Formats: sequence, C-alpha cells, structure tokens
Amino acid sequence: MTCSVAIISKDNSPLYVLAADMDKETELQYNFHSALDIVDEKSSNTANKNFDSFLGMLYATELYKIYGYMTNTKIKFILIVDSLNSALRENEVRNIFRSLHVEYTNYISNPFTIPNEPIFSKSFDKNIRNICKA
Amino acid sequence: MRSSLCVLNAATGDNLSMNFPDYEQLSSDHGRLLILIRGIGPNKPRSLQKIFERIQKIDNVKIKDSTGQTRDIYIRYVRDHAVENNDWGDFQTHRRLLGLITVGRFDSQGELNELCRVHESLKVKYTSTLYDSRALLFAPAKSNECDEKSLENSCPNESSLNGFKLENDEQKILADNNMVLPTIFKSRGFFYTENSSCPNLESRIHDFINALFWILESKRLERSKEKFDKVNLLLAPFEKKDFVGLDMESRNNKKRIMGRITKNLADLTLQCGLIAESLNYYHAASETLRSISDSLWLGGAQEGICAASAMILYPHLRHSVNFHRNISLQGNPNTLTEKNSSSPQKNLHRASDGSRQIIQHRKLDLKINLDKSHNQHNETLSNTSSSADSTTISSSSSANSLSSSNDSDKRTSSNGSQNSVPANILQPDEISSRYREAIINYSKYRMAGIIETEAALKAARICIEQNHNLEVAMFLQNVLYINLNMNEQEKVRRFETLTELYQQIGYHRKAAFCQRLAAWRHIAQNNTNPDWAASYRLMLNSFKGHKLSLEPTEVLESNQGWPCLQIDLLQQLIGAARRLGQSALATRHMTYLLQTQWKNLSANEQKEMALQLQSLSAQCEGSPVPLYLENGTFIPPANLTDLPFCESFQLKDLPASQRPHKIETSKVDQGPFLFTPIHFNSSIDRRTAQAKKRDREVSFSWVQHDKSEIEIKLINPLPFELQVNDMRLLTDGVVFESLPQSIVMPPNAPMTISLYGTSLEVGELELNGYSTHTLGVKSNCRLKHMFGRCFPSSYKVNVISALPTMNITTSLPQSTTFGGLSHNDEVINSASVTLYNGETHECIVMLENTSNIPIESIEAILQSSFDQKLQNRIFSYDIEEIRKQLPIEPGKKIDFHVKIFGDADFVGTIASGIGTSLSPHQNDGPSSLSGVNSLLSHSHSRVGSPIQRTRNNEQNMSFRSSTTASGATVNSGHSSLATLSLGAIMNASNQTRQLEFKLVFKYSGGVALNENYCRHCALTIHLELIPSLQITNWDVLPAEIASQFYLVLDIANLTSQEVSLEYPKNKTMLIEPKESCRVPVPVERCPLDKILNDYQQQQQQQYNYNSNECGITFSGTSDVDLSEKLCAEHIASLVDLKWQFSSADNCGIASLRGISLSSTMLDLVTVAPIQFYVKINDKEVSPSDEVSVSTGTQIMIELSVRNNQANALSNLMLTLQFYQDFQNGVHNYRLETRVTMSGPNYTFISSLNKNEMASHKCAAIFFTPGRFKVDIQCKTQSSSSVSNDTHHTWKFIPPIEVLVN
Repeated sequence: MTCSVAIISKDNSPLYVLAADMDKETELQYNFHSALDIVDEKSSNTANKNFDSFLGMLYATELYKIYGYMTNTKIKFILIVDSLNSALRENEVRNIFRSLHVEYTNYISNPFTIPNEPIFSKSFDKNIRNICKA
Repeated sequence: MRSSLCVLNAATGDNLSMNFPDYEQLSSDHGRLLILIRGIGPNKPRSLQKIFERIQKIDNVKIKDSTGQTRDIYIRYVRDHAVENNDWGDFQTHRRLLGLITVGRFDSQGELNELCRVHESLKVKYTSTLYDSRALLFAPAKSNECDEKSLENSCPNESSLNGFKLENDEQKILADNNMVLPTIFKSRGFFYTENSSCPNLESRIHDFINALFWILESKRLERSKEKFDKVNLLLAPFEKKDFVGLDMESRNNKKRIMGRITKNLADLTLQCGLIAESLNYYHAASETLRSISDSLWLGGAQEGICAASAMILYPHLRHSVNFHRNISLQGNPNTLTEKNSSSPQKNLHRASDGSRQIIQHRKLDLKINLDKSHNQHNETLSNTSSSADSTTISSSSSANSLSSSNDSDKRTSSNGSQNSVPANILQPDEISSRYREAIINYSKYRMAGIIETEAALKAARICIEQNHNLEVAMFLQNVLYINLNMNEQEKVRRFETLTELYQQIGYHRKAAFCQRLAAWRHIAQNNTNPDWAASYRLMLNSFKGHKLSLEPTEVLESNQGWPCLQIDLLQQLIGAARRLGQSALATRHMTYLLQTQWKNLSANEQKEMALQLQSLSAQCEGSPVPLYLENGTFIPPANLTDLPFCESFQLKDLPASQRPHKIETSKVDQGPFLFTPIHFNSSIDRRTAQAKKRDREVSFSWVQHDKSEIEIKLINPLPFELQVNDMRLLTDGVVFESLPQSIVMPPNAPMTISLYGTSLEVGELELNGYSTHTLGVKSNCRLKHMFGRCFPSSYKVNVISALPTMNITTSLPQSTTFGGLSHNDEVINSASVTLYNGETHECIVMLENTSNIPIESIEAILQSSFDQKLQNRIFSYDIEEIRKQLPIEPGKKIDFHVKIFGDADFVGTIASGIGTSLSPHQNDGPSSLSGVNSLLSHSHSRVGSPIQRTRNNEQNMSFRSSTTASGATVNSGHSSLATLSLGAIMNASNQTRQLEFKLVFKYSGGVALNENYCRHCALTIHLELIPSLQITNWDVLPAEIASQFYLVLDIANLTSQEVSLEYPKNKTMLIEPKESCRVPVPVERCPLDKILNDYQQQQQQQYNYNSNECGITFSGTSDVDLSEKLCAEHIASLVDLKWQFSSADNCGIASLRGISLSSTMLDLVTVAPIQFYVKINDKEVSPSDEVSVSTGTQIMIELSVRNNQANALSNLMLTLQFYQDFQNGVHNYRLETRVTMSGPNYTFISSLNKNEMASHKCAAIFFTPGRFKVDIQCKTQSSSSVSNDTHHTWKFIPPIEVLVN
C-alpha cells in the first residue's frame, strides 16, 4: 500500500512532499494544496472545542481519499490514499498520522533543524517512506 | 455521499439528457416563473440593455387571487433557454419556459417583418410550454407633427386582424413610419418610438405576468382536482422507454402516478406563491414515492421541500437574487473579489439573521398553536423541536401534513401566507442533509446528471447562506464527480461556477484549482477549438489562490504558497501567452518566474529557464514597463534583481587627491557649553530615525562634474557565461549622468565591477540601485527589492560644487617607491633627492591647473613624522611666492622654489660613544648624560673646597690628560672618547638616513571656495641624507685673546672623497676620506650674562604673573643646564664649518648644534665674570707667560680684578700662591724655604660692582732658582650674596710661570 504525504508549515507552504506516484506528482500537489482550504476550515471550527489533531477525511475524489491531521503548532499532515484501497480503516489512517507526527517530532528535535524550512533530510525521507509502505 | 449503488438505467444513454446545466440556478428559482427575454433583430445592444434592466426589475408581482389572498409571484428572467431543458418541465415545473418577451428595433417595414418572424419562430420553438408572449418593438423616432393626422386615417384597423387591438399611440407609431404589421404576427406587440421613456412598460409587464399567473393558477387548480387514476404517468425525459410494457395498472404504478402528480402539483403550488401548501404536497409526494422507491422523483420532492423551506427561512434570498445574478453575469473579477473579501462579515450577518428568523418562526408557531390549540400541531411542534433525527421528523411531519392538509390550508389562508411558518418546514440544519439525500437519489440515474449538478449547486448556495463552509465544499466536491456528457465549453463553465462558489466561501486554493482545471479544459487536446486566451485569463485569475501576486516584490516579501504549483502555473501561463502570440507577456511572465521562484528551482531548472527567457526575449525584449491586458488587467514590471546576484553595493569616495575637504574656519563660540543634555524636540524615535538616516547617508561628498564610482560585487549564479549589458546607476535627486557598462560574467563566479557616473548638479543624490540588460530583459534592480541582504532602500550622497584639480611636478626625479606616510593616497607625485649632511639643494615645484576652474587659493603645509623644527631646518619655501601668482587660470602653471637642506647632527657621538643608545637621530638638546655631568659637578661644588680644589686641578689638566688618555672620571667624559677608534664611530653613524616629507597643498576655487571646500593634494619628497662630516670629539681651550677661546674639534670625514674644510679666518684643511683631523676654531666667548638676561626677560614675559619663582633666580641644576644650553646655542650659531668636496662641487656646512659642554668647559666658553690683570714689576703679564727673575730680587706683583658680570659680587677673596709643579701630577705648595712673600698673599674684597676694579699688591723674593708657578684665584667667600649661594672660584689660568735663575 502506498500513499502520498505532505507536511505543510503553519503558513501553508510545503515542508515535505512525498508523492506515491511520481508521474502524477503535479496532480497530487494540486490535491494537497486545495485540501488546505478544508484543513483551515476544520481547524478553525474546532479551535474552541476539544481539539483533535486528526481532522478526518477532508474530501474524496474519484481517485483519492484525502485525510488531514494538524499538530498543535499548526503543522499539517495531509495523506492521500487511493480511493480503491477500501481496506484502509480510519483507525489505520489515524495510526499512520500518529507515526508521522512522531517522526516529525523526532526530526524537529534535532537542534540543527530550522523550523519552517523545507525538509531535505535523507533519514527523515526514508522513515516516512517506511511508514507509508507499512 | 455518492451512492455506491450501481447506476440504474445505464442502457438509456441517448441524447435525451439535457446538455446544458443551468449553473446560475438557485433554490428559490423553484418558485419562479421562467420568462425568456430576448433581443431580436439587428439591434444595438446598448439601447436594449436599458429596457432589459427595466424589465428585470419587475421580478416580484403581488396578485390577488380568487379567494382574495395576495400571492407573491416571483419571476426569473433568462436570456437564453435550451429547448431540451423544457423537457424536464414535467419533473420540475420551474424549468418550463412560460413567457417570452422579445425586444427589437426596426427601421423599415422589412425589418419589422423580420422581427415579427423571429418572434413567431421563437414562439414555435418553445410552443410546448409557452403560455404567452410579448414583443417590445421600437420604431425610429420621428417627430413629424404634420404627418400625424393624414396618417391616422390611412391605417384604420389593421391591427384587429392580428387578434388584438393596438392602442392609439401605438397605431400612430406604426403609421408614422408607414408600416403595417405583418400578418404572421399573432402576438401582442408593444410599439414604442426609440428613445421614448416607455412610461407604461412596467404596467404592461405586470399585466403580462398577471396573465401568466392566471394560466398557471388554472393549471394548478386543474391538477389539484384531477383524479389520480385518470392521469398519465409523468415522466422524466429519459424514462420514456423504461415504462414500455410495464403493468400500468399495478398498485405500485398507481402509487407512482399519484406520487408524481402530487410532486407536480407541489411544484405548481410553489410557483403560484403558496409555499406552505406546496410543502404539504411535497411531503406527501416524498412519502408516496419513498414507499415505491422511485428515487428520481423522490429526489425531486425532497429538493422541493428544501427549496420551499429555504424560501421561507431566507426570504431575502429571493429579493436580492437579481442583484446577485447581475453581478455574476457581468463576470467582473473586481466585484467578485470585493464580495469575497467582505464575505466573512456578510456570512456572520447572515447567520445571525437566520437564527433570528428561526426564533421568530418559532414564536409564530407557538402563537398559532395557542390560537388554534390543535393537538396534532402540538405534536408536530414537539416532534420538530425535540427530535434531532431528520428522517423521523420528515416522516412524522409528512404523515401529519397529509392528514391535515386541509387544516393547514385553512390556517394559512386565515393567517395570511406571508407571516405563517408551516409546521412541516425543514430546520436550517436539515436542509443540507435533505439536499444530500436528494442528490444521492439523483445520482442513481446517469441521465439525471444535470439535475444532480444543479441540485448540488443550489444546495451549496443555501449552505453559503447558512455559513456552513464544509457542507459547501462537500456539495461542490460532489459536482465534480458527476459524469456529464458535456462539451469542453460546458465543462469550463462548470469549473468557473465552482470557482466562483469556492471564492464565496473563501476557499481560494480550491477556487484556484478549479480555475486551473478550467484553464486546462480550454486547451485540452480533445478540445476542438482551444481557447488559449480564456485559458490564459483563468490562469492569471488563479494567482490569488496560489498566493501569487502580479507584483514580484510582493511575492518575494510574503514568501508564501506552494512553490511547486506556482512554478507549474507560471510555466503554463507562459505557454499560453506564447500560443497567443503575446511574446511581451511571455517574456514578462518568464522574468517573473525567474525572479520570484529562483530559490525554488533546481540548478538545472534555473539554467533552463534562463535559456528559455533568452529565447523568449529574442522575440520581444523585456523592459520594466507595466503591461495592460485587454480586460484592463495591469501586469506590473518584473525585474531580474538577482541576476546577476548583487552581493555588495558600495559607494566609493573620490580618490584622496580629489576628495573635497572643508576648509577649517575657527569655530565660532556659541556659548560656554559644547554639549547639552536637553533635546528640544527630543524623543527616542527621533534618535532612531537619525540612526536610520545615518545608515543610508554617506559620510563623504561627491563633486559636481567629477567621475564618481560605485563598486558592486556581483555573482553569476548561472552555469553559463552571462552577458550583462548597459548597466547603469538608478538615481534620484540631482541630475546624474551614468556611464553604461557592459560585462561578461564567467559561469558561477563572483565579479567586482565599478559603475561610474557624473553628477551634473549640486545637491543631494539618491542612489537606488542599478539597471541591467541581461538575458534580453531590461531590469531596474533597486536596492529595496533585493531581499536577504541588508541594503538600505537608497544611499544618499551630497554633491558639492565643482572644484578645480591640480597637478604637481618638480624639477627633481620621481622617487621609485612611495613611502609609508599615513595619508599617502593624497599624494599625486613624488620627488627624491640625495644630499650629504649639510648640503643645500634648491628645487622648483610646478603647480598646474588641470581643470577649467581657476585655482584661487592655495595653502601649503609640510607634513612628516618629524618635529616641526627639524622640518623647518630642512625645508624652506615662501608661501607668498605662490600667493603672488594666484589665481592659476585653467591650464596654466606656476613655479615656486623650495630649498632643501641636509640637516644633521654633526656632533653626534656621545651616545654612540658611551654606548647607552645608538639612535641615529640625536637629541637636539643636551643629552641626559650631560645632565648627569652637571649634577655631579654641582654636588662637588657643594661639598667643600678641598675636593673642589682637586677637581679644579684636574680640570686644569684635563686637556692635557686627554692626550695622555689617563682620565677616566665622568668629568672628562668627552675626552675619553678619544680612546674609541674612529672606525667604531664611523660604523655607528655612517648610515644614510631616509627621510620622507609630504608637501600638502590645499587649493580651491570657484563656487566651492565660497562654500568652504577645498582639495588636498600632496607631493612626497624623499630625502636621502648621506653622512659627510662628523665631529667626534671636542674640547675648549683658552685662546690667546681673553675674549676668545679655542674650540678644538675632531672632525671625521665620513665620505669617500677628499673634503676641504674651511673654518673661519679662511683657513682650509683637507681631510682624506675616512680620516679624522683635529681643528681648532677660535670662537668668541659667550657673554652668558647678556644671553641669560635676554633669556630671563623672555621668560619673564612668558611668566610675568609668576615672577617670584622664575624671575631672577636661577638656581641649582637648572641654572647650569640653562647656561650650558645657551652656550651650546651660542657656539652653534657662531661656528659653521664649511666643507667642499675637492673633486666635486658639492658643498655644505656642518653646524655644531647640539654640542654639549661640561661645566668646566662652560667656564672657558663663557666670558669670565672676573677678569684678572696681573702685573709683575709693573709689567703686564698674560696667562702662561714666563717671567724670568733672579734669586734674591724682589718682584712686585699687582693683582687687579674686574667684575664683568651684571651683578655686583661681594665677599671675594683674592689669593696668590706659588707652587712647584713636578710635572708628574704632584704640586708642591710647601715653599717656605724657597720663596717668601712680603705683604699678605690674599685680600678680601667686600663688594665689587659691575666694571669695578679692585687691586692688591704684594712682593715676593725667591731664594733658590727653579721653576715656580703662580696660582691666582678669586673666591666667593660666603653665601650672603643673592646670586651666589655656592662657593665659586675663578682662576687665572694658565698659571704664570716664574723662572728663577
């Protein structure tokens, strides 16, 4: 199973994008980008209630299901899954996000990391790929 | 949301489905009558537009029905209507076109006929649904009053032929133009003259609507009274085949018929303005249809419920709809964005509105219940308010409504339809869920795609109203799923509608995505006629959603968005612009891309893009001017500010020799305080503002008409050679002429270049950056647009008036090296000269004015690291000589003379001889050692006479001892030098000295002189001094004449040539190279008293207020120091040793400046204060004379002393004593057996005034022959005198020798 992941900074510019299918990278990028509108909407709505990092499915197209997750520091994770992959439960998606979050936290804990800068770390990339393939 | 059921009716994929979704449709349109309004004929659209607007204003008509109830009838006007859409009229009656209004203008009968024909053909086109039609026809304006009557007769009553009667004025209009209505025209036509105000237009339209309403109302009543079993099944267009062969009599089918009829009735009722009633029908229909799972019609009924509910909940939507629609029709992006920007507030407002209304409705409900106290209504209310489950509500409420439809009918009629809220209305939250259900139902039919699309859009619009953005997003997302068999244009329209709706809810990214998709559709490969212009326009509009701004600097500043997509978008945009043939735009966008996305591009991409830009700009050169598109969009210039990348931008001061300097004027004292802590309009921000200002202000000034330089460090980030042409400075303020510069930058390499320019005016110049022309694009690279470097937005530099320039040349050769003088950059020329110590050279300095401004003032200053005295000894020039020749006109030259003297310390070996220091430059004053000398001698003199005496003895012998090399005491230190070999001395002082001096000229002229500016330029003079003579030893000897003494000098010739030395009295002496010889120089004695007096007077003048301390008394060491110094000066001024090379004509002098004298020497040098006159046997005897006497004879000795001092001496003791000198250092004073004195051998002189004489006589008889000497002394006795508190002894030396035979 493969899925595409984007990590997006708090001012909505991409920090890290992993496209499952390199041929469709642009298309996926557009999907990531337009999903942000809904992330914004959802996060602003739930701001005062007990906030859940997992934003659920943002929307679905013919090809993809798009899930969102936002950390307390407004770092957004967006996951695009093939919509044919019906075996994927929401709980699993939640788990993927959680492990992504952990990975990101590990990365950002590196004192040499500059926050809100695009991520080029090779080991980070490797770990994210592992999560997505799992 | 999308149903996972497999699509029903998959087989019926034929052309029956309508292809033209109505994207503008609103939920409130369910309750409107559809009227087509169409301009016909070759009209000027401008004149018709007004009529259209007037008609469109009439969208709400209140009509009293038969029961006296007021019906609110709403109209929807459309400009175009596809006939196919009429086919769905059975499914949703508001899709039927009920009315037709044509508007046309004619000039002739032929045109009139044509208009009538078009009108009739339109009628035929929509004949299936059309109820009535009107034609508005405009005749040309003719104001021929005279024709009026005659023509009135000629047209009797033709109009009646067409089935209606024209009014009189209309007949007249026709008649005025000699026209008749064609017979084919079977409609009601209204005739107006062009430009008339058409006062009855509104009332006529009202009538028309009335007519339509009554027809509709009749249909509704007809429908409501029909028996279900007698009517045919209503069908959606694509269903026609489906029911072939089905059992029409089955129970299911009957239900189907009933349900559909009810739904149809509900639609009609809604259109007729009975909203509450229609709700009942809708509920009933949905209930019926649900039971037989007729999904399509169930969806229709559900949508109907939603529409009706929305109409009640949001009545303002119905009113404002035209306004909205007009805006969207115009498609003005500005108003759209405006609307978007204000949308959050609006939404809030709407939301609060909505909730208020709901509360109001509830209240009304309660009131109704109280009035009526119907149980079932109570139930309904409790149901709706308590249960959250929408399905239960709908089921229960619909059940209720079915049973109580009559009741509710009554109720609405009794209360008036306007104010009541039906109980079975949907709550706002339910509307969207009900819409969702409807859409799910629709989605089961592929053929109902249009309906589904429209429903989704309508739902989205309701949700926008409710401010449920997520729902909106969901509905809109759903629209994209719907697979419609549309052509590309329709797809584009769909995306555009989505864009607009997304923008309304502030989803700019989604909107941008849709715009992007629309743009793709325009140019899709299967699009038969790609529209690049539209695609371009759409992409440009999607900038906002991609967080791009047309202004590149804004993009760089905000640094937001999704770079990858931005690049993609820009590339597509460039492609579209190229396809359009707009190479200017393509170049502009490419520049923009490079400028804004540079850091997001990989190195390879950067290279490619740069090359692309180069090829694009080959077609159309980019320049920094804004471009305007046809639709008024303004595309600001894009500048490649970072190509090449500017790393530093530095203003250069003028070269030091051309730098303007302020002429120092003595400071005018403003007050006693230099600093005040009080700031008058002080504040911290002023200080920070000043600091900021200081940042961009430059400390130096530039000069008008002078070439100024700016140094720029550039980096070419591209992997190929970058040609940058025409680089110029961008300035503001005074007129500045910038010299263009072209460079070729090597790949990936830094480069430092200088840009030059000349300011033509005086004032403040602002430097904002530079312009380039690279890759075929002209750019203005302003400093403020260069991000990431801390450049100020501009540099300000003061430009002062033009100054002259001057060149210096000399008669001397230029020196090969410029020395290390501190400000050597002012130096514009150099000169070097080699002199022997003591030699003098005169050179000529030429000053040339190289500018076109006369030099009016020159000042010359000599600078060096040496002290002023030395400078003045070496250089002498007359500044007046220059001043007399001023001004120097442009291009002219003046000369002046400078004398250079090879100054040196010829007396210079004390230090090196004794070995304490080896400094090549010796002190001018007495060395520290001589200080020690005097100290010692002073202490001696204080200790007491015996020691003093021995000292005196030694000193008497000192000169002799120098030859015998015996003395090692400090006092004979000078003499001890003789023990050092000459070679050592020469080694110590044989070094040539390199001296460097700078002659600085400060000159000015013209206006700048008045502004107190000048320039400095300098000439360095490199002086090499070669040692010539050196005085290694010196001593003093008494001369034959009392007023003189001999200065005996050991002079070494340090040159390699034979030197002839001329010492006074025209005596010359030749000194071989590297040889030394001793020269006695007779020198006048130093009248110390006189000099001292002069000196004291000077001192007194200086310290006249402190005369007590420094007045007359000079005591202790200072006295001795001072007198030594003065004596040394005296000697130096008197003795000048002239020397000349025997072979060459070099000549010079050697001065004795700096000679140091011990205190005993001083006694000889100075004029003795006491002058002795000795007479033996009445014969004057001079010192060292020899007197011969015989034994036994008495000799008379007369001693006289005379005071030469200015001060009176007192308590003097004059003594006389014979002794024998054994010539071995032993003196025998015990001569009692050899000589006897008659008379005292001493006398006491109590006081001796100036020039006074005192004498003493005595006699002596020698008993034995031999050599005797006479020691004559004069001593001060006690310390009572003011001037002498010490013992002082004056002797008559050398002692007289007496030879006794």
